[in-house]
Amino acid sequence: MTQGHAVALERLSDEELMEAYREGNARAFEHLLRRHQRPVLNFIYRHVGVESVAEELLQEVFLRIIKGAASYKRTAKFTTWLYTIARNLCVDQSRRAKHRQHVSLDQPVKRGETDGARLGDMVANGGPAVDRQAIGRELQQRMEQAIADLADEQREVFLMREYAGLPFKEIAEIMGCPENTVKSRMRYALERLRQELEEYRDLAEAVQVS
Amino acid sequence: MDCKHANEHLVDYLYQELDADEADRIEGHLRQCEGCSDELASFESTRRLMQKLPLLEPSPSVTELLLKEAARAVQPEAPGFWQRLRAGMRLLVLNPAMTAAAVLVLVLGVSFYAYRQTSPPPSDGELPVPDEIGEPAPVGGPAPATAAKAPQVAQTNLDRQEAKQQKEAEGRAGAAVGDKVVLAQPAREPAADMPKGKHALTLDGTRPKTVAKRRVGRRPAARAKPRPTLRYRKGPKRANEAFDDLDSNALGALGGGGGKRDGHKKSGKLASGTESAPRPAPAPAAQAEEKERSSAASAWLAQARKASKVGKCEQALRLYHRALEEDPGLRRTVGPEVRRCAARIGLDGLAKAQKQLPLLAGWLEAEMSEARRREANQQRAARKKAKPAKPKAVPQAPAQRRSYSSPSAD
Repeated sequence: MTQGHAVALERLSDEELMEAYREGNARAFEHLLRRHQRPVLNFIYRHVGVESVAEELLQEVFLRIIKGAASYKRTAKFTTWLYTIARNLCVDQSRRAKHRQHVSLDQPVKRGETDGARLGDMVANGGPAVDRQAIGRELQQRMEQAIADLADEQREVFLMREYAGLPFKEIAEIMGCPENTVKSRMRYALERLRQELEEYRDLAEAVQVS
Repeated sequence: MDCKHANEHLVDYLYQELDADEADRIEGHLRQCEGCSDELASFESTRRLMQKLPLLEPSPSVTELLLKEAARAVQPEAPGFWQRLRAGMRLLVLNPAMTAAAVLVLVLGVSFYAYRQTSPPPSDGELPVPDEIGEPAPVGGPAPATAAKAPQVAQTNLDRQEAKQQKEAEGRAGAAVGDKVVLAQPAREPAADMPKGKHALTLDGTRPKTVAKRRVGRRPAARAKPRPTLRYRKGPKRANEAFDDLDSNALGALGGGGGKRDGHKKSGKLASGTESAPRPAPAPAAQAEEKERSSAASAWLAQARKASKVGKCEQALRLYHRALEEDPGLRRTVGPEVRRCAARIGLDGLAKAQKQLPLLAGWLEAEMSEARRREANQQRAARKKAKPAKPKAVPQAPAQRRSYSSPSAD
């Protein structure tokens, strides 16, 4: 594969790449994968909350794409198909892990102790200076927690819009609801996050989260 | 534009999903309305903050696995042996007509092959007549058709055609006096030796003395001691017994000449006292002798079949015996034919033949017991016929019948 071919593939739309892959061009799939695996992984990760599970699901999503390539029609938008698969897998996973309990980093290491060491203190370090690191880590945790606390529908809309950059119309198609509903959910999600992170807003401007 | 309308489209404006005119109108309102402007600023700030959240990076191993899988999925691969076999089986399973046709072809093919291998002579004229028997009385040297050749049917047919032609050509070379036909040497022997060939015999089963002497002289070990009876497995035939011959023939063909003999040795079902220890690499002279013997056996066999065809069953049995002396491997082939001949010579003939033909003793004994059984049945039937018919049973007395009726009926 020459450089020219690679550039040509880079310029193709998702649908064109998918069609090329269906016709036997494995490099087209590689472009698709590099383009979408990161946002899909983070979409899944924010949904299920466990990195290893997110990677497994990411793998499953793209394996299904590979298997379904033969039946893919160009009329369907690739990202709609991709995120529909990802979302369905996330929903299934959430159902399976319904009774899964999150372990809070604020939870004491030893049960019963109220002022002893906390789990958060044991997280591996190696980043910036202690103050900024502490602030950055705390902010990151709060942000993650704020996302996790969103209602499922709001979180899905927020993640698809922010991480995948999908337009509201497409999100509505994926979720099977009217576009206005999607916009409302987006607004509620932004309001909720703003409320949760109000105290960090000024700080966020100054601190780079690592 | 009022604040309500602006608020409704604030999210669209934030994510740039408005057309240019609508976006201009919102911007105009935002310049005038501090509340809506602050609202938008807070959302933008929240977005910026959330965008600072680090993203997970996909694991390279997952990427690699997916790329491999993707490449494999679109790689055109030639169907392997098992794929093709599976496809063929699927075709058969899905199409019952094809399955039936395949089974039919297989059964017909195997049956035909087995039939050509055994080629039994007809006992009652209903069975097809083999080529050798359909010929006029052969007086020339018959060529070995199947004995030491490869088992392919085509080859056998070729051999038969050759033998036919040779018989026609040499038909008048042999001497025929009355019903005594002298067999010439097998086709591969020189024509000059034909009348005095070592396999010469008369149709009544006696061997010319000079020939017998010559045989004794050439193979003293084979003639010095009496030929022991071959032990033959009795009992019902296995369903796949016909395949034993095919296998032995195939083995024989692989091992060179004398296929049937070698095959039977390997199968271990026939124990012959005359069979010497296995010879891994027979000398050329021994090979030639073996070939000669199997040719002679074929000649005897052809004569036996002819005699059987014309109804000379006792004579046919003697000829079968000769053939077996030459090639014990023919036992499976001639078994049914011997039984058919034996069934037609009566008990006395059987008893006589059993004494004279030790190699056929097993079949003859079986046939004798069968004949005795038949005879006993016939006698029993005759006795039954001879007895006067019993008077018909008297109808039951009313008193006996009443015993089964209900007491209230009385």
